[in-house]
Amino acid sequence: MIDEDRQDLAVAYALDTLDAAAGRAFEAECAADSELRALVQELRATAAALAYDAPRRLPPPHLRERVLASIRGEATPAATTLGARSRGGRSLLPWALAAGFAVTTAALWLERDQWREKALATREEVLTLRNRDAFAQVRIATLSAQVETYAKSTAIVLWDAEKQRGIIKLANIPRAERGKDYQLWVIDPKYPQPVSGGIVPVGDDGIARVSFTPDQQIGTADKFAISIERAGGAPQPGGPIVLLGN
Amino acid sequence: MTPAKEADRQLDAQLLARIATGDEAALATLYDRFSPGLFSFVLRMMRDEMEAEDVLQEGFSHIWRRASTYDPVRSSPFTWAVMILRNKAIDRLRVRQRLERTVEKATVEFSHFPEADEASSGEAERRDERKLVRSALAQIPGEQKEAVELAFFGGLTHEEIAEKLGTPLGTIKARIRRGLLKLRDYLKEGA
Repeated sequence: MIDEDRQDLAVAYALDTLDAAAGRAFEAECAADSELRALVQELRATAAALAYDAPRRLPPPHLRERVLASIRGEATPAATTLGARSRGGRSLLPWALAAGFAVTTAALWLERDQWREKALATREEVLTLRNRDAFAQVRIATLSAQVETYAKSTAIVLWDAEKQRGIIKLANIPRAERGKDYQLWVIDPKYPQPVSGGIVPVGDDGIARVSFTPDQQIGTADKFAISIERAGGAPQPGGPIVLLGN
Repeated sequence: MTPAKEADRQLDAQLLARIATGDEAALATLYDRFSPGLFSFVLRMMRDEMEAEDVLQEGFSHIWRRASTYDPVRSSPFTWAVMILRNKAIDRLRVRQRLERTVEKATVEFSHFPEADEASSGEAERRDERKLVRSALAQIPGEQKEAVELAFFGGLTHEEIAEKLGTPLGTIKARIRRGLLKLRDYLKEGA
């Protein structure tokens, strides 16, 4: 029988909310307790099944090629060399044997996992750092109202020059007139005209949060602007600019 | 587990074994099998299509690099993949939260995305599981469901959920524990 405190730990472990030290301590406990291991596996599977509750959305078709292209750019998986050993080891170390050889299996299980983790950790760290660096490139711009009607509006742009994409967040935005849309523009001195960042649909609550990729490669994003254009957007700004900032 | 589910699981495990040897075609097949479910799930977490795409790409890159660490004794391939993508999504959510806290405290409500046409999803075999999960979720008390969803989809820790809901930590832990255990029992009964 597993008491409630350990059930709580099992839940937290299954949801990956234990910190590293607590996680390791719990893994050690699991290694010597088949009932606890079974509970963790069931809880993890139950939690993962919640993924089915998400509203169904298909990934865009281009994403498949993007994913496959990205792995082609990587070296052959570390598993090519590590896998042969680990798969061989796996057959010798199934948890099923734990009942008879709990202590030995626990030690080997931990060792095996630690070995694998160490072997792959460096690569992960590099990728994590790369991601962190990418976020360090993010620029934050606040836009201010150019007309009185938008005095209470809030507009913030997060722009990642390296990835050539951004996020715009708007709040307290008046509803656009019928037949009109808000459109985002990126002003880059290398272009004679602002570059479109696309339409920004604003909800009835006056809020918008949209990811965008400008129509053209941006070198320097000097300013960002929101104008009111015809429904569907315009290739160049023609309507009034209501928000502007750098 | 039904024979069909067991066969699916074995097929997916075989694909992972092939991926571990650097078989790109196996990754493409796994992508075709998993990506609709995983994308929907990640989109629910991120509420942003471009970020969901990034998470999906990062997740499959991770699967590519670390397929050899998959252990069929511990979980099904789908469970393993869900947990990988969930962790990637949580990492991004936390970065996003940090970024956003620096510029504003305003909370932005995200619009809900319309559901995809079931017929076009190409995942008929997953529909039963979806029904089963939704039915199970409908059977647990609302407060347990809320706590479980905040933990799973929101990636919040127990402490963060307690703070968000203004409820004692012990109560939150109990709600999540009871909710997940009941869900487990319902899913077992329905399987």
